[in-house]
Amino acid sequence: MPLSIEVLDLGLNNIGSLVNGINSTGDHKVRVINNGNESQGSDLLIIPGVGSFGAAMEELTNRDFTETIYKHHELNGRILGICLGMQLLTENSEESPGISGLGLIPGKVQKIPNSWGSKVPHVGWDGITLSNNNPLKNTGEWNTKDFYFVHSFRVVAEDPSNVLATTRLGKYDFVSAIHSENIIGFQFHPEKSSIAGKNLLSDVIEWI
Amino acid sequence: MAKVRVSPTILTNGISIVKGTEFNNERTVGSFTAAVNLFAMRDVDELTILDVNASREKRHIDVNLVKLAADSVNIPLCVGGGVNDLFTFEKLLRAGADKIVVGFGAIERPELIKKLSQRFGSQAVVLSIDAKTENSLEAATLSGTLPVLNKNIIDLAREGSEAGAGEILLQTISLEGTMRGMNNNLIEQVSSAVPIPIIAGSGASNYEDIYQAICSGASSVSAGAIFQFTEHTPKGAREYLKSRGMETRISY
Repeated sequence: MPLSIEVLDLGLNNIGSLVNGINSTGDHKVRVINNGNESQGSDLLIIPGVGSFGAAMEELTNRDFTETIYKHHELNGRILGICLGMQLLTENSEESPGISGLGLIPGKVQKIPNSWGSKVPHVGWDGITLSNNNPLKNTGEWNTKDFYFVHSFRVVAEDPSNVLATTRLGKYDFVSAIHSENIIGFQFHPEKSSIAGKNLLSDVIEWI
Repeated sequence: MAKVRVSPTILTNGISIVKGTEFNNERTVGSFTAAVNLFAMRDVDELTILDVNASREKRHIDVNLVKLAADSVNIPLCVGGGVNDLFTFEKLLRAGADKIVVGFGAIERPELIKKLSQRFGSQAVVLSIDAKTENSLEAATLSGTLPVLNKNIIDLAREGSEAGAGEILLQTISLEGTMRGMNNNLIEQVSSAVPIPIIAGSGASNYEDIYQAICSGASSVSAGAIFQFTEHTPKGAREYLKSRGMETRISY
């Protein structure tokens, strides 16, 4: 089923790979928008992200995206947050003290401690373990594939029901994907995760 | 825990791909797009593209070249060459790079690493440090195109890590392109000195070399000559590492 999809351009990263990834899942109407007032409403709003929390929230504000996101959310539109985009969905981040996130998922963002026993940033391919009540179809598949991570901070979810997937890092697990009724967030980059990532995006499109 | 990575490394002079030895005498060895497409088809862990002439020609790696590569692949891309300001860094990110290597730029502007990591996040910033020879920890360069710094490499690594670099690309000039083996002693010392991942490069001649570099502390191995001039392949490397008990990426 072809969807209407809007991708927010924060000016900080390339969305080419993401648009290509989405287009490979079907004949959708994908629009990249630079400003909130370009939004025409959509089935799915994608918040990509590279950069620091503070810089990204500043761009969201400057480009009038914050209102677009809240309006879309109120109308029960679906949202997909990727990497920093997932972190922006929470309330705040240690990376940029004093700056509020979108607050759509209760929780905060903290630095991955060096004491966990892994190199930080967490860079490279890693597996995920999906939680039991997740909205995606091919859970068995995703639990056996690797996806590309590149981050120094991780989300600490306040409500366990928002945890979609976890990944082990050193001694502990961190939240590698989150969800709520109409939101999905991935800490990793599905658009940079080769075939596994492409197939996962297909599942997300199905969920919509 | 992130799986170990093998990153085929393409060196370019801005137009074609080149290969030399000891950061010198590069000759053209092929077409850029052909090399990128080949590695993309082989589903490698990560692709590294470095413009080796950029610093000395006082320019940066061509943004269009990076866009060309990014549009062809759906795997991570690490690029570098002559990057010494935030504006260029941002352009390269927008063109599709996931991580950007900074070397010489960090000497010219000591605050550069800090500013880049604050704006774009540490995970996008890779600091390049080169040992001049495999015998010494004292002599170093950044980007290899400059007079020797005569700084202790471990100190440089620590400073870079504290300033906010996300990874260190660690090379040894005297080994580069020679396939004489890697500088495992250096890899071990730098890796244990900083909490950030080390990408080790220079000198890999076979799969065992790659394995040993990772045993010495590298999170990723950057390799050029071995994949361009021998029968070794990135897939073969992954299979070898797996057979030696390492966690490698599950691929198709």
